[in-house]
Amino acid sequence: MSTAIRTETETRPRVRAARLFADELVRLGVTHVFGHPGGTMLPLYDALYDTPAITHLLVRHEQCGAHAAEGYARATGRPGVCMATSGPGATNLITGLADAMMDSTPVVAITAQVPTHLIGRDGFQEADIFGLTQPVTKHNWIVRDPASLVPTIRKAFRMATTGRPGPVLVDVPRDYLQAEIEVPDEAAEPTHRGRRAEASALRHAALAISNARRPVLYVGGGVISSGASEELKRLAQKARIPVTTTLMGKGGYPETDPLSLGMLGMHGTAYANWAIHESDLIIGVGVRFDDRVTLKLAAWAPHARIVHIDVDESEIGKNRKADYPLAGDARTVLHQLIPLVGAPDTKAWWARIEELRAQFPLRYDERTDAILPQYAVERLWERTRGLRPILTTDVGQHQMFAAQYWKCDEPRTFITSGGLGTMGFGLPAAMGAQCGMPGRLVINLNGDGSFQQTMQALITAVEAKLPIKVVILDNGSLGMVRQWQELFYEKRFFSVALANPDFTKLAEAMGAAGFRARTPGELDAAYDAMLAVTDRPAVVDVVVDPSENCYPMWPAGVGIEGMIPVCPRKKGEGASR
Amino acid sequence: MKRTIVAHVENVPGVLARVDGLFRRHSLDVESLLFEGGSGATARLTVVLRASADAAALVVRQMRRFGDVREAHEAGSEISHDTVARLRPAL
Repeated sequence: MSTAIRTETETRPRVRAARLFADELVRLGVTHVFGHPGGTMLPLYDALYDTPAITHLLVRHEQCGAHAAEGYARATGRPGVCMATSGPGATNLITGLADAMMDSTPVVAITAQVPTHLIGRDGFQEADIFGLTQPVTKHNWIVRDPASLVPTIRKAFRMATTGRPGPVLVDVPRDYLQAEIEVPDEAAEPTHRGRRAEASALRHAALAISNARRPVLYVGGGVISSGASEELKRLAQKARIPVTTTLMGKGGYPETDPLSLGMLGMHGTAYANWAIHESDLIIGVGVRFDDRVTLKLAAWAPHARIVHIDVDESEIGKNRKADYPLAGDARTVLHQLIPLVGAPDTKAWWARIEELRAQFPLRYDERTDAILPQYAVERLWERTRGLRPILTTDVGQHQMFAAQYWKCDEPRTFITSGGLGTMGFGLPAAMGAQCGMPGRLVINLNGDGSFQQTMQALITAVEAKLPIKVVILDNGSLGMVRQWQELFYEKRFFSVALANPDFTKLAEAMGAAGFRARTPGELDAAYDAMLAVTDRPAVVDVVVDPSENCYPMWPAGVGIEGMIPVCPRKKGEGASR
Repeated sequence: MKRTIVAHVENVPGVLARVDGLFRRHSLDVESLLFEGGSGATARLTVVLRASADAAALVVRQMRRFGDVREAHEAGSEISHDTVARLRPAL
């Protein structure tokens, strides 16, 4: 392009908007798009035909596209992009957008809308997607004139990735995609700096940390999205403060480190929950004190004052009052905080924590007749830990077993649906993660129920030759629902038994490899066979004991004394690992 | 208790629905709502609603997260320097 300054009268070349749109996506760094075409979307798909820099993965349901975009974003830190046509295509994205909203995942959804002359007239495949997605996006737009198309997509990417990340949606009427518009100016990327905390607030918080006797770091997804793991490590190790992570925070602090207490909350370790209960100062970093962590908010951490670091000011004090509110980017604020913090005297506190750890270890029975799900997760972890795998999970018992037994040492390697708890997340998320991290081993741990919600994603993964690994913990039921019916509804099991297809044959029918393990003795061989497949997805159906429940369990609405640390019916029975 | 929330918003279609979505989600009753935008780029929104102090404070802070809300506060509450600085380029 000429560098000469344009005069007012000079006219710029006019190009089809869809072409400029596709070019802009390339400029914004998009490498993969997860989408499904349809009538109104065709102008953009026609432009993608001539856009070799972008790989399009053809999903078999738009929900898979949205979750794949989430997986891509969570693994890489760059926004994931999904696309859908107007009407049903766009409405199918909503679950994935709501999921991304709850987990603060940067996703850009692009939807086509019916041509402007049909909007509001119930045109074929018209849905008010701008209205429908307002509550489940960080922001959304319907493009109101062709010239604002490119500026809007730039704004969308910026908004998805800055501050507290989240999903955004751009809805574009078909006639605007077909319009001929002037080539827009190249945008200068504004540099984004993380928000800093106020100096006096920082000093007060630092003093509180230095003087604490029983401090706990409670860290969540904000640490991962702001890239604050190194700073967190420095703070924890300088002040010798135990670290417990939320489900979303897994990987934010290395779980094999002695300072780590693992996950807290409903199915977290009993020692993490007791440490929180006895703590005198909780340093919450990128967390929101949500109900799966606090269970009974009014009785949670009754002796603790709270330091709360979060980039989203509206989170501070939303659930638990913060004594030391630090609004700002987690990485920036921790960086500011570290030099101000002295080492508190935590010797007695550590003695108490080791006592709690010894009293309430994570445990399960040793069995030779049937595979316990915990054993399947732990073996998978042991077998692959040297390979730096990225794990995605779905939602249910298998997810909580993964939270407990999959020790995660690296940020962006534990990708799960936290806030929304979306069954069907894990497999398409693995597909997205593998696209973003082509050299890495990507494993999806799934349940037999959740796998069936989006299993058609396997076909797309086969098409794209993605070597993702899928491990299904197959207990022939909706395990977590069954667990609740057993514990809270007098074992009146209803609508939880699953008559499953043969998952190995299903995998093979879709073009993937399929393996099965029925006994502990068969498990390692099945994992090895799965890992040996490198040119397509591989699925292992791990048949597990259907009666196994997930403990510890701290039921919602009760105080910590109501937490069930181990399986009651198995206390004292047999050997335990 | 009656509370008044004042917001400066972009004068674009959908902004009212977005703000109202918050009232709906928190199940707050709106007593009156005044939207003064004219043909300008920004509009002033004045809402009187029945809410507890906590609910009103949370709604105001969640309102500020919206991309098309430039500033929001509860009438009678102090506006911080930070808020004024954020507001200035818009007005």
